[in-house]
Amino acid sequence: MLKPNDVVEDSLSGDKLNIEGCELFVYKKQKYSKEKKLPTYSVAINASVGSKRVSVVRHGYIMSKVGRVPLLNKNMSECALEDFPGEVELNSLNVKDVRKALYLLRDDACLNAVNENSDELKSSSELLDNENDVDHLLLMERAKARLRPFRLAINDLIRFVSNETRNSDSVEECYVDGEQVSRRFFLSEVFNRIEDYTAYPLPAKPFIYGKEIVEYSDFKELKLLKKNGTKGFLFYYYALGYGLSATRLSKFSLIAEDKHRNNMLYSWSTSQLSSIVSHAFCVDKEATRQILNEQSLPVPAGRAFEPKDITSALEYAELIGYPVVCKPLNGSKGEGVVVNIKKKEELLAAIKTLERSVYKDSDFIVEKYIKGKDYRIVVVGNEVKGALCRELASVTGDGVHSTAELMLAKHAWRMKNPHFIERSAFIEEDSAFGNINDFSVDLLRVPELNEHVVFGTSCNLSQGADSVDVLDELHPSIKEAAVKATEAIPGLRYCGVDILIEDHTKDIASQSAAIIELNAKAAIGNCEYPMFGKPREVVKSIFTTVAEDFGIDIPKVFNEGHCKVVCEVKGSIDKKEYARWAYRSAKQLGVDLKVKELNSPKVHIELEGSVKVVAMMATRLVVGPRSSRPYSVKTRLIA
Amino acid sequence: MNTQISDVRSENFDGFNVLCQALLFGAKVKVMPGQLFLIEGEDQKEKTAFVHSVALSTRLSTITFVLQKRFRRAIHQRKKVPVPVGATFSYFAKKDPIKYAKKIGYPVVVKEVFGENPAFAVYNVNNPEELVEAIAKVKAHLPTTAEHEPASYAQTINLSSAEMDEDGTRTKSDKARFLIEKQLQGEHYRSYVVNGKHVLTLQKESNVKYEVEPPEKVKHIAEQAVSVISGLANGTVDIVSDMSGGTYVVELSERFIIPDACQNRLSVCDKVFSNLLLSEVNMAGLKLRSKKTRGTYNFSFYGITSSTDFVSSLTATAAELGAKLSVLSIDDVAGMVAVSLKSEAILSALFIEKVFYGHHISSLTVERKKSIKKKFLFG
Repeated sequence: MLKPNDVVEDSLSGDKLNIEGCELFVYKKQKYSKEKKLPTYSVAINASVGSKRVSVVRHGYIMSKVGRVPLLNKNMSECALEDFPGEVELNSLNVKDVRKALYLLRDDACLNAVNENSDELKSSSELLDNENDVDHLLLMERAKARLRPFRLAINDLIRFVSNETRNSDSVEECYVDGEQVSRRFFLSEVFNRIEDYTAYPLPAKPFIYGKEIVEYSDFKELKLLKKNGTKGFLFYYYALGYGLSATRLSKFSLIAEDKHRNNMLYSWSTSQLSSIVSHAFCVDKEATRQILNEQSLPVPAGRAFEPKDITSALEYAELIGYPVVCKPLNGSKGEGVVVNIKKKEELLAAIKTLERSVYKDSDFIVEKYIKGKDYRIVVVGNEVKGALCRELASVTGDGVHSTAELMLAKHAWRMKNPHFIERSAFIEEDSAFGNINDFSVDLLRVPELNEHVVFGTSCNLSQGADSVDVLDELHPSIKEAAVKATEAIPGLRYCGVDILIEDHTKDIASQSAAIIELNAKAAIGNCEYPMFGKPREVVKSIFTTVAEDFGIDIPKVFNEGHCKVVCEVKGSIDKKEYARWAYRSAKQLGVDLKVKELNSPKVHIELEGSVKVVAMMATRLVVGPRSSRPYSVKTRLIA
Repeated sequence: MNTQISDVRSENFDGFNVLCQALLFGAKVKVMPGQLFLIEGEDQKEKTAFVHSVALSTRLSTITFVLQKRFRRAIHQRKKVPVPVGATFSYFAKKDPIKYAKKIGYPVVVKEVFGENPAFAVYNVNNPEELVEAIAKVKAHLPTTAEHEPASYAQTINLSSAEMDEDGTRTKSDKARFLIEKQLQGEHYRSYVVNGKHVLTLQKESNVKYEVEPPEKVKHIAEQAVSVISGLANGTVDIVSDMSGGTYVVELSERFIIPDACQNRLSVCDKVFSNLLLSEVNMAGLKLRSKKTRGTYNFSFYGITSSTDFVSSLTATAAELGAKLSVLSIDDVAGMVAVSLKSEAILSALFIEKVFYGHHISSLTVERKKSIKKKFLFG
């Protein structure tokens, strides 16, 4: 079996060819322009021939209506690159001709991309589900067009290997669209336009303070649930594992029902645990501050101002003393937050930035900047169930790769975390990965071994920060403060307490500390899937606490093993197509699936497998193929 | 008095009444922008809270299932609470809505599936042309944003039917949908349910709404409409009893919506909102003081930027209401102003409504001054 690091004998030159890996760069959306044609994605193949290293890059220029690479081109390229060189017995080929070998590998990779995306490809090519030769040939032609940059990159590689383009003097060469440039030049040209990046195989694992990034074994299955899929799936998983029937009315809504028909309602990460009123308190940061202050909990001195009240805000900052923080009163996900403002001019600039943003009509807060690391402590009921330290986006040098390359490697790993599925750290406008122009980070510099290069400015995970689980080391006084803060807000029983502390292992009273925000709709995925450290079952705690609060009958033991369910799917459904899609989806997940009834207004589907994959499949059933619109999926355990 | 009540903005009318009841019962109330009320008893240990008239007992995820009409209808249907026939459609669908309206028969009503509360709707749609027009109207309607205070509740419930594009223009989300529902003819009722129990029903007749003792079936369906939704104890239920004897839930809100025509009827408001307050207060184990229509109320305002202007404005507002205001203290550095007002409870609530409307205030604490007992004086 030829693996990415395996060696191919090149009969043309007598050198050895080692295909080290492939990369896919996806760029941010752009407006169509006749004059300036920018690539929407790039494919790179990195190889070495003897002592020479080569990187061949080909740009793709095809653009969807929204100005990005069409999803199908992206997906097919991913499949082709992932399996390149693919599953080929080199010896059995009995050829020493690298050109021929590479063409065979290429065709295998292309075929795999076609197989994995056949439905979408047929649909976009307006081909029917026929098996005739004409249609098959046409399909392959369309596939070739979709994979053009990949195929051209292989041609470039062949030209290089066969000495057509090789420059005998240099040890490392890079060709972009056939032109020789330096790889660093290529990276500096495209870096600020990157929206997403993937590498095959993944680079060396990044680490932080000695902790290695966590690899999740169920990522491949979870990826099939797409963006935000983990939120809906986790509650489904616990519902089935606790023997409840579950009805899903959309991708994000779930009704879990016990045998007495008592039910619990879940929507995204929200449950019945907290009151709606508690959330209204939490979104108003000023209200939160006042209530916590009255409970003698540490909060930074600060207050809110109207957008027109700039003079008062500047005077107030002088009164409490710089450095200060400026943020919108009702902001979320860390948007518009500027920290460590050291002087009047900087504060004015931060306020003016808000004026130009979506928060232009919102009141803003000026508060004392508290030195310390940013922590998210998750309270369920009256217990701390998760604690994360949110580190500013950073990379650790290896003495070999440039900052840009280390950032890309970090991003590629980050995207293998189930919490970040389809949530590229490059996408957000003010994300640390995508907007580093304002900071003095030299992208092309090679940091020394173990040098810690920080490039983020926000500790929000959506903006590139790293999550490090610290629950086991958290000082009891900090846990106590987090629980007390949650209890201070009426009706709050599930909360993400954001707190700044210098050292989480020490007593809160012995150091600078401040609770800066309470989140009633705190994301559930970040503690379940931390980037570094131990995963915590926060969702299980939420589920069992809601069940207890609302008298839902659940068994003491959770079934992690095998189950069999019947799903009743209702909606506007193309039944034949839906069944075909369901079989294919089940196969991807490793679930046994039987479509029981196709002729009634409902579709009945039987699923059998581990509770986890059955829950994943049941989650997918409410999404369905493009031709169907399921309104509800009711899942009932039968074994 | 009635004229002054009409000064309360209709989107704040329910919260105004909750505040009014809290003042009548002498509770200590912390008022924050967006009609956020934290109510404390005498011992300050137990608390309850409201946002507008939405009480602490209303759960977070529950709201999605109340406001999203397809979800609400699905739960009602599963629990055998009758709802009119209806279906949801994407705004991209052109032929299907017309086919569907023909199938269920005109007149129909076109509603937003998810929007501000109560969601925008077009009634009395009688033919395909009117249907196309109604769909366009519902599509063009965008949730309003509060101009004078942070719409914390609007943010809380996340009105996602509107999106803002890059140049700041708000448009309907592509994912938004609308509901076509059979418009029923018959007796129209609006029932108020507190802690799962019916407390009052209004009946509509030729645009006049009056309090009635409704048929048992209406009471029962109103209670069911609220109780079957897990995490919901209070709500307003619109019910229609049609000609064939069927009784259907046509709307449900977690807020207490008083029709404009009834807002001057103090007895209606008193009955609905005192029941609501007392129910929530009991649930929280909180003790209130005796109900008094008049008293001296102490106000402490926080987050004031220009205290001199603010005090002048308070004096003018009090005079406008015919109440006497005394300034107790002013702290410019802390942005705090304390005043007292001798007035009826309802006037103090009006005073708060007007002051919050015109000024930027971080919070206000209001409490009825305790009267010195004669027994103590002469005892």
